[in-house]
Amino acid sequence: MGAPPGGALLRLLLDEMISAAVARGLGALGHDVEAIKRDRPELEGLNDQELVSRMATDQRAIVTNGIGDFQPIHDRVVGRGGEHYGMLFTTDATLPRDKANIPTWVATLAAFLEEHEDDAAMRNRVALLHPGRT
Amino acid sequence: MAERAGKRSVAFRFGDELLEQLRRRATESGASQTALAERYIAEGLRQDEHPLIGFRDGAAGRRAVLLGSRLSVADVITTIRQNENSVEAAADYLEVPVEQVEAALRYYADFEAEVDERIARSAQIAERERQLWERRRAALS
Repeated sequence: MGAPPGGALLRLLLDEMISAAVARGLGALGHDVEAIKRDRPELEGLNDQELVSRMATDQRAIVTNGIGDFQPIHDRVVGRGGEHYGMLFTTDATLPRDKANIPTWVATLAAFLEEHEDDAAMRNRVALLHPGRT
Repeated sequence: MAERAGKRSVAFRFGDELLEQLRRRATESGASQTALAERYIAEGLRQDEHPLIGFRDGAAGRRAVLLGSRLSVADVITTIRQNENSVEAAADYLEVPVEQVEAALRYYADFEAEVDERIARSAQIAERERQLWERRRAALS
């Protein structure tokens, strides 16, 4: 994995429903991934819109299973000509949240990060994460 | 006493300063003063019974969360279910104290239908998005 010429790599923030163990696993592979509870406790008090705005400033894409809460924010922000730094959606059906599936989470997100290296690759975009596909 | 759709009008006496705060907040949020007052009373009563639970706005509706966090009760319950109904395993996965998972479970026991409705709605939205994503992939292949 290498940085694109003159650019940084895509960075992620894991929402609180995702184990910080996933961030640790990705960190061990050299990716810049933060978990709210472990790395950014000051974000725990923010609502979804505030979190999206904050991550636009921090230039991190948000990984969350809150599709119903975040997709409307994406639609609103982009519709108004605003900016966010990306939303990666997960579902409990394809990526269950238990210890046994943490390696699958790490592999899925690592594959996505390797396919989308540019730090702005997800700017104003959403994606649905699916194991085995990026 | 006026009655409408299962609701009744009752009279309370509040101080001027509190009423002004309510008016100001209603104007800021676009909600009616009655709707706001009802929400504050309902959530206040719930928080008296469940002091480790708070409430947070979201596009999919207001949700119960672990106090001081973004973690919804619905997500905690789903995590328990995905970890063989083990409170300890869910706490271990989420890296939160067992007491917080127990607090979410206690809230769920009181408001089961409401939390289950949110879980079911989230699952429907996720499935709809998954199908949309599959169709999009098929269109591009």
